[in-house]
Amino acid sequence: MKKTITLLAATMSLAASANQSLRDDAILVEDIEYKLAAGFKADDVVYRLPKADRLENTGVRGGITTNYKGYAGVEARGRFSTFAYSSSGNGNIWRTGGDSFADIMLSMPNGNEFDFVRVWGSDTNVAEDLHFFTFERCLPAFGGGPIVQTILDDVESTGSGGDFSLLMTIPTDTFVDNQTCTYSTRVRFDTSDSSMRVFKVRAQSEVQL
Amino acid sequence: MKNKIFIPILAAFFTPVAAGDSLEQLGFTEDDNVVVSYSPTGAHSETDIPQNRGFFNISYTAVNGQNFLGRTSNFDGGDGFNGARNCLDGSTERFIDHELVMGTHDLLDGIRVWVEDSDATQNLAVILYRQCLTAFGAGDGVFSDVFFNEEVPTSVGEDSMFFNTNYTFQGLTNECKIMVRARFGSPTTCNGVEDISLYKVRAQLVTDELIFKNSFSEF
Repeated sequence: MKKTITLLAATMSLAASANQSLRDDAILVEDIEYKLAAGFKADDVVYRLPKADRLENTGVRGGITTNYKGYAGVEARGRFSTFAYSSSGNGNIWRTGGDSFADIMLSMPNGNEFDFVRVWGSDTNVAEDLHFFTFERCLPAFGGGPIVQTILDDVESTGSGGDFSLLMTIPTDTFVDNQTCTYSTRVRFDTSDSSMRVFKVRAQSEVQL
Repeated sequence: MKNKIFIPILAAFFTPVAAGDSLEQLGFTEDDNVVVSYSPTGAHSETDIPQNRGFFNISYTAVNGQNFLGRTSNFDGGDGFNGARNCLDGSTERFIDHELVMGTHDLLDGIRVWVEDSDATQNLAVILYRQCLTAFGAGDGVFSDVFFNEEVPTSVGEDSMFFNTNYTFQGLTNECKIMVRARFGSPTTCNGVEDISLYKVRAQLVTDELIFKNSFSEF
């Protein structure tokens, strides 16, 4: 009996550690409304990093150390195949029906420090806003297990003034780990017309010399 | 018929389509230019390779299941909450595809696939193929070369497998792309296989960019 309890405890411990964030400063998201707003299920294990506060380096620092990778809105993939969309043909995207969420996967050089994600779009809707989230999703490097998801930052358009550009600031010491993790920006459309469009998503990372 | 043209030429190296391994099961049609050239797995395993060994630089590129595209728009996928992808009941398309992003001179050492599968009878099949066209002119259609067709046989939940290609395949981007395809179960529709999800596919590459290791190289 004792052995059984010990084994059970060990198993539970393993299960817990398999689902833990790789970051010490990650906070477990317990706000179900926030998880649903970000396109997760209510019982998903999701972490959130503290908000970072630093300035975007708009110039090229050190010549070749800043890496940008841009994606057109139409490169987004629906969370479900029911995500229906349209575009005016210049790379932008808006939702026309079905599922409300779409993700763009961000590819960056391994080992770079992940700094920022800037998004461009248009919001002329008085009642709703576009909400963006950037995720890190990690799996054990050489085995099966649950996907550990961490929200790195999120940002929302405001008002209905039309074209916008918004910045998500990634917490410091977030290094791209292509062996273990993937990175995505998700957008939530709360309308199904062209009043809310995504033009572009750009990931910015810094080479570590 | 077209695929038979290639098979005699390459017979010494390539294996014809075996019984039960029809082109349809691989996601192609009988009219496609396809050679099935299942490769033997190499001698080493994934964990034998450190991230940087002598002349070899190991690099990774990965793609979430959600980023795969249906072979046709009839694919009806779900389970994208966490970036995974499954195939929903009623979907008449069961194949999804994505490229393996490789540099021109990168060698494909293998791929690791993460899944969740609680289906006792059906599995996720992983098909690796190279799709080629004439580099600088018109050709006789798309030529596809299937490297392997493996299943991830699990019904116990979350699992992961490494498929070894042993440095054999190079990313010749001016002529070819290396593509990975997943098949949800073996029936012709996805009815009953919603409990199989593709989490992620990761390519393990050997790059030849010594001084750019992990820094200036794009991936």
